[in-house]
Amino acid sequence: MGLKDRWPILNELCQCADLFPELELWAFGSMLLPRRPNDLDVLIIYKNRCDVVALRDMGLWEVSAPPVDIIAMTPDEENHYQFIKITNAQRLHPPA
Amino acid sequence: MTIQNWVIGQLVKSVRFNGWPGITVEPIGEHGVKALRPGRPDAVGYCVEPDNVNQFTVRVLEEAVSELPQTGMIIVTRRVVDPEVYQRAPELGVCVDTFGGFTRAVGTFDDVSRYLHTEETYFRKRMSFTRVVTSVIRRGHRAWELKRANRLRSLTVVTHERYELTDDEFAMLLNQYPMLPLDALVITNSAAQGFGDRVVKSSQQVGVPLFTLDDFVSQIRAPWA
Repeated sequence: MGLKDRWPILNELCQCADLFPELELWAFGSMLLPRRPNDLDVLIIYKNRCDVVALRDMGLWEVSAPPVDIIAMTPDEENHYQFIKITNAQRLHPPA
Repeated sequence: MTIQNWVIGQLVKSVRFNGWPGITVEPIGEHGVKALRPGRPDAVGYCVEPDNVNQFTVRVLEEAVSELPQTGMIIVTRRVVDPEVYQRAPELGVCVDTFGGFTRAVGTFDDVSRYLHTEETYFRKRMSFTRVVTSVIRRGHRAWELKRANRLRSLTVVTHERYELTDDEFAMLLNQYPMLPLDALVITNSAAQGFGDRVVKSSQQVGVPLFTLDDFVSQIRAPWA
């Protein structure tokens, strides 16, 4: 079962992200492990912060069970932290 | 859908997801949510309507408690809270937190009004160890006024527990506390090593310096620039 099947709210988030072609969404953290996650950690890579603000406003992502915890980075921030590599993040959207 | 309906629906899911046995959830009035817990007191919260224009003020807090006197927690979602609310809330016997805080409190606190996030406990302990901070006063969800001894002025800081501080998060934190004159933003995650160039530049532009907790503690005995 894929992450978006297991956690329908991720599917909803990705559908909303369709409106913003420059956004990339990645899953990381405890949801990638077999155990029950505390939250659903999602990395958003953005070029225009307005896209992130608008996506956040499209749902009460943090008021969900489990909560969706969004961290947003520009490409240079992701490069600085090597976040995708270090967290072994899995791409959610757009599909690879 | 009202925020009350949304909170109730998500709390029911949380109870199921966390496998908490026997807990049932029901609405009270127009804004209340009650979790009935076998063998423990009921946990009652008041759901504050999201509002990106009007702040949650002391007057609105007092109206909420008057409407739902049995409430232990005021659940705030996407609304700026007046710092004075955090002074008045304990006097009224309630805690102000988020849906996440309420969920954790339902699971682990007999009295949800006494809920404390683990970051707050840790931060208060670290501040007490400095022996120069004489009191830590809550001024926001994760904002604190630190009274200092030796005629040093008080500091107002925001804490953040993530390993990475991004430019986007920095902007969100500033927007969350528009009424506070911030002296610093402090990362409490002990694994944090430093900050990215972009967020450092943003912090310089707005004059709110960034610190890891260890670096902040090392400077706390000195006059603040």
